[in-house]
Amino acid sequence: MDAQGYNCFVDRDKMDAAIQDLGPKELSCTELQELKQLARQGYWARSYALRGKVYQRLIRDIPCRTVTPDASVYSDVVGKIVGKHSGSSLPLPEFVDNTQVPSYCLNPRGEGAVRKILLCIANQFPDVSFCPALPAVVALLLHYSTDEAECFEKACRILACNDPSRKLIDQSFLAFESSCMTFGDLVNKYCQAAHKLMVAVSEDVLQVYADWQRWLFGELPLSYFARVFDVFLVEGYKVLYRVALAILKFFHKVRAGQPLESDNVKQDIRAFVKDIAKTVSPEKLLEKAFAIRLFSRKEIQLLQMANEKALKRRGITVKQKSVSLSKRQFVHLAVHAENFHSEIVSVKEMRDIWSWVPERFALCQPLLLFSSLQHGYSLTRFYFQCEGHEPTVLLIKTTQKEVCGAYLSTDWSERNKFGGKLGFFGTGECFVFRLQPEVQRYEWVVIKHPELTRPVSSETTATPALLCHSASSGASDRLSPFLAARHFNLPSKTESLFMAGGSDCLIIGGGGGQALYVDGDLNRGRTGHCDTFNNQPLCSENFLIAAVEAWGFQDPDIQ
Amino acid sequence: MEAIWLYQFRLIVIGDSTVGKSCLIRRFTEGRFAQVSDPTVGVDFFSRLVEIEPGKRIKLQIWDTAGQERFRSITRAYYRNSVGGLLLFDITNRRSFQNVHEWLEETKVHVQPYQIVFVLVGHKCDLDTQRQVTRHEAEKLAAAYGMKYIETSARDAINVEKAFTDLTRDIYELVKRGDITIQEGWEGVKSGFVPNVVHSSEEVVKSERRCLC
Repeated sequence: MDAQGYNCFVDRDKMDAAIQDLGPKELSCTELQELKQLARQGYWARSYALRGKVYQRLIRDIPCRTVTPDASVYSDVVGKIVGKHSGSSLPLPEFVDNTQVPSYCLNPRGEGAVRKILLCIANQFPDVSFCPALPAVVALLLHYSTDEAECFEKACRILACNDPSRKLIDQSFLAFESSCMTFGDLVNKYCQAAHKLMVAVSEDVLQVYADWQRWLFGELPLSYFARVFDVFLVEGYKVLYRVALAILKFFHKVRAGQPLESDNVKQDIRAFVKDIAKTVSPEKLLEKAFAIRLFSRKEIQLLQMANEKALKRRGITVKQKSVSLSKRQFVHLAVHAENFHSEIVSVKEMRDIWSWVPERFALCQPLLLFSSLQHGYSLTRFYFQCEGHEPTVLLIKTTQKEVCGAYLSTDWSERNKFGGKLGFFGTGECFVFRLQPEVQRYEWVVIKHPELTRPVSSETTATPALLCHSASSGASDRLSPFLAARHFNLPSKTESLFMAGGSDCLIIGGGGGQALYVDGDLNRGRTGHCDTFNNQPLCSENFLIAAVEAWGFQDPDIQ
Repeated sequence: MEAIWLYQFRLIVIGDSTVGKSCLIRRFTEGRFAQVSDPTVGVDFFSRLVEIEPGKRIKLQIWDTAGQERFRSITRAYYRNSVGGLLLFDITNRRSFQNVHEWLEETKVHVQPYQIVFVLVGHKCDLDTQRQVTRHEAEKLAAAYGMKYIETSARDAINVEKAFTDLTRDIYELVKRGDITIQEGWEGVKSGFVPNVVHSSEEVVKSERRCLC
């Protein structure tokens, strides 16, 4: 170590520009809230030595499996595993999936050390099957470790974290893939403009989003990545989504008006992240990341679980060469032009709709369930055709050639649970849209205004069971209002009225009006503003229906 | 306060994947049964005190191992420092019974120069209707290797206490007879701390002498 606190693995000439040591050398606080503040402010970025101490502390405090390899294990196994190879000639373990080790201002000795450590981790963690983020993590940790063994121990602790609520890094292909899908879902909800651009310029948008971890763990310059890692160690996985969303927002802002540099948006984003210093400072990047009013951890976790389930059902649990990626079909690929026919929308419009649905359903093919042309103008028949399918897409064409519709999360048969009365059901994944004359989508109002789900005052008319639940649990561990609205006791009922169906009418969106109202003969309809979707009328306020269709989601493998 | 015990025995639980090793240990150490549990990663660790005679307590350190093949290189490092072991198979899974021999060979190679006192455990005996291994053949196999045989169920809490305490008693007898001795650099058996006021039996005196040496 020298005056700056750099260890023997660091190329000092490269470092001086990257991090200046100005700050205090001691970590004085221990409170989580305070740590969170310091991490977000970049307090530890000011001193190399301080950040080293902070990492030591934070990583030591990670709850780990009882038997977690430590520094002495490294000393035991490294000789056996590495043999007489020199560090730089060592192969990387398979789980990094062709990821390169980022240089992060390490000298050749440091780069060799990273390879040695990765190999020893592979030996000690046979369960880690897919972890492309690990080379970057190890390379960064090496900066703040006195020797290889200490760096190994730190990386092991991050992998062996056994707090189920504290996911740190994805270690299997299934976890990685479902994170990519979850990221896609979040982009779809929180960066609609960027999402639109991605859909327009890429063949398979999920392929672009599958890169999201690479932006952070690899392309981001060291000083940025270290800042992200600071908050990541304190706050966990969710900040990774935040930062990646912020990167995409900046990319969109900078590149929106310009023609793309290459015909490959994936490469463009990578290049953009590499040179992010030209666009924003680390401060601005984090500021943007934390300004996004993201779902709660719990909701993200539920979304991730739903995605994982969808992948498992499809049998995508391990990366198979060439199969998994080409088999995964999204947007342009999912809606096949040749066997698609609709009275209401074109293939292109259907692809637009498909780009809005949650990732786990975007993997499926559209399946026509009901068509007024084929099944007649009867609401009863409509329900009959739709029952057993979840989710569905409703499409309406008016006699004025306007087209609008809704994505409906829940099986129409749920309408029977209200004992003959008209009752609302569905989840926060529902949305309504207009396609003609111009495209506009309206999401559940709570996505933009999470404050609307703040805890309920006690005088609600909830059942005793629900009251117990809301009383006994804090805001953070409530059931997800997003995926499970039907179990959720929302403060104002008027903001979670998604769908309702009776024998003489069908309603989408309620509260102060209805986004869509259709009569029992599928003849007349109305549209207007409603609180649930905070939407404008989707077409002429009173309309005559020309055609109605309902589409379901078909697993491509079952065809 | 640290509980008071005469000896500490380190036990290891091995057997094929999904035979119920972790569930058996959890039933014994925590008294509960989880319907679903994740596969064990590498090695996990539990402990509990057992009273083999009134006032005579042994602390058990129980090492749970992953049954999956890919963890073998990690788990085998734990054989050497164990004095006793429960070798589990699932009575509804013939394959896991056929693998008992492999497990014994595997440990034999890696435990040198020490020895492990094994008990053969036929687990999931609550699922008697799906049984694929008869009690008779399991007993025969156990006898051939000089082991005891016991059938347990973590779900219905059958014989769980007995499996661990019988093994503990057997090891205790061997220690008392001097067939197993405490050795420097070996974690299998360690002597504990016993204050004079609690015990006055000869074993206590013995163990105190050990502490001093």
